[in-house]
Amino acid sequence: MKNHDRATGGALKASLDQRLAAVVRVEMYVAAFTMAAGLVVALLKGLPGGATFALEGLLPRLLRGDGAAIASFGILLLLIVPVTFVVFACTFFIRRREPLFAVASAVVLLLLIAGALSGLD
Amino acid sequence: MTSGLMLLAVGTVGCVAGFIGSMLGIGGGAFLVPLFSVVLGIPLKVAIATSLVAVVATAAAGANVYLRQGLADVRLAMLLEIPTVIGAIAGGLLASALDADVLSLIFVALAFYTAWNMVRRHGGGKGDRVKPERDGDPELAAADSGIKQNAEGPEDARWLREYYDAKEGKVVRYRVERLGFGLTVSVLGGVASGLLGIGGGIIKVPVMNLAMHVPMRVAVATSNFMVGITAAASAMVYLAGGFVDPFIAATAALAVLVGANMGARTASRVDQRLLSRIFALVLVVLALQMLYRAI
Repeated sequence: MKNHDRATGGALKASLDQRLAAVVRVEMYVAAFTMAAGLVVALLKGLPGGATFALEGLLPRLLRGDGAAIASFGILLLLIVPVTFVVFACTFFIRRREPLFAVASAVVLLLLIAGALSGLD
Repeated sequence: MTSGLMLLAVGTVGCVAGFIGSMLGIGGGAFLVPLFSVVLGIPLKVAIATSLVAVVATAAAGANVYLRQGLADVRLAMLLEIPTVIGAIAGGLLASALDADVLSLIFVALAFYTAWNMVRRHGGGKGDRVKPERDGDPELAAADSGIKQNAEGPEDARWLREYYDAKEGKVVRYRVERLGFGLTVSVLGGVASGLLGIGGGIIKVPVMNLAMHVPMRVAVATSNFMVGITAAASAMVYLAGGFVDPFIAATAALAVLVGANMGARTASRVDQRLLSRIFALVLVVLALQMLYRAI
């Protein structure tokens, strides 16, 4: 493979892009459907006032069919989409043995985790 | 208090912001925050958090399209995202601590800059700022033949890029330049995202195109890819701070997606120059109302 092909990724870049696009598409549909389902359930049951996003007790509330919990879960799925970009890119660069970009992706991933934890009690 | 009527209003505003943003090629965040805050009376920090969730939705949808076209430079995005995410987290934490009026004033400054930028971009100003492809370029030739460059040159083939321009029907080659500058300024894009609920593309695209000589199409696609990651980092800080109303955020995200889809289909049929001037004026009026409330 020519060097500039290696730099730009050439056919392998296309494979990264296409696979990533496919994963993102599925994640987006699932997140959008879940958010919409949460809204429909809440509207049917009556909207609770002052709902805020909370991870605490999310699973039991989801199992009870709580609209706010379903919408929150949808938002969480949506926020995971960009994280998937990073995980996918990191794995790809590790497998391609491109240390600079693998490390950069890993650092971004760690920063995202740190950011999520920074506001938690 | 969230009511069905409020969700209808949020949906309408989100749809309009997504429509405008998509037609003008800017993120909806610059419109969402003042519309939510000024028109619907949603508290500013909740408006910012809602805007960030909506920005993630539009960026992810846009990234899907750009990735399929092979336009996003994922390698460059990952490098630039390191300082951007640091800035985004810092901006989010700063916004949580700042008084809403101070935040409003900062947003007003951003709104004026965005309005000016919209008029400038669609006013027949500077075009794409990329070094033209040179036949017989020794560095590209060396890359082709597998010869490694020394440290004084472009260093190595990692910074040589190419993409297929479907409109021109040819492969366009370019070289990423001034990476250090790009990395430094990216922090500002992140801070703006975390602080004001925008994607930060308004900073990222000019930096990549004007300073780093990345072709405009690639800069826009790469920025779109990055915006989702940046906004997600900022949104997580707001999420943990309890500023996200799941009903408002979910409605806004879905509505912005619908609006952006409609905007993308309409964009080629409208006079973008006229449109950008009208919406720049709308943005200035909203900014002035925010300013009036803050002082």
